[in-house]
Amino acid sequence: MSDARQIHEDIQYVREIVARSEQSNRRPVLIYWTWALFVLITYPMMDFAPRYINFVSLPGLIICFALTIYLSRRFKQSLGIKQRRDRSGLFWFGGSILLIFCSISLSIVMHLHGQASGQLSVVFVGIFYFLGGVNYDRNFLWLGPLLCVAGLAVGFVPHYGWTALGIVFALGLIVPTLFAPRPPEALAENVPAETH
Amino acid sequence: MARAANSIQNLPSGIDQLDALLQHRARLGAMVLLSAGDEINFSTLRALLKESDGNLGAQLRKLEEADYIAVKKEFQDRKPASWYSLTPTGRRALKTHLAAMESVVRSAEV
Repeated sequence: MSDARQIHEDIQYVREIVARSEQSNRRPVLIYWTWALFVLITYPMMDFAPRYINFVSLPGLIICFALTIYLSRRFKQSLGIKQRRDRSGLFWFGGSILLIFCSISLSIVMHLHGQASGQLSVVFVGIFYFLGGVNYDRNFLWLGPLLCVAGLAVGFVPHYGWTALGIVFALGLIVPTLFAPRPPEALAENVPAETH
Repeated sequence: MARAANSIQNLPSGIDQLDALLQHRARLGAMVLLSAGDEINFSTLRALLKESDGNLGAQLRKLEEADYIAVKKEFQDRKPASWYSLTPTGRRALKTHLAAMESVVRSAEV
């Protein structure tokens, strides 16, 4: 039946296009690097200058969030796709705000200070990243649980535990971006501007 | 006459529901990509559909004339960019067409 065969072929074609559009979902590399830099600066401060951690981390958080918003807009434009309902934006920003709120309020309720409060935050970040892995980036599926375990273990490391944790965290953000597949035909920004 | 009536009876179910405009692959592909509720620019559609500028432009114009898609032109980094999105009419048409395709395939498998 030629009509049915034709339709079968059309369905196959549509399937290929959808797969191609999913392949073209690149990572926002600069956003990952921004947060890796933040982690590389703030975590070692817990070992070397714990007194100044709040003076650096709070402005750092604000700067990183502002940069993330800017880079995220640029990234979406470069993909050539505008999402009306930005689910990923809602997840990452809403989740981050919730994470900060939970960390601070639980630290207050449980009378946690200094290192213990930091450990709690890392465990929350781990859970949040794992959820990010489930929904968006598969690399966070291993980074999330690793952060949860490392967040608990860092309390038992006598020297430079936070520095080591910061390095592991930053590497977990940077390394996958170096090996991300980049299908050349699907990258809109590599395609010359429209001429029609 | 009797042969014609017989051939109509033998048509797979749903075939009369197929939208002639969406039986072209590039048009169907563009509609499916746009159905995710997004706006997609011309360059990205061209890259994903692997169509030439001229062909894709012509196919998109047909969809636009049928009010299946809407186009918004704007400048991005000082370059002109056309952003396409599905209209409610287009969304309904695509839904009907995909249901008809499914129906045809099922009736052919029986």
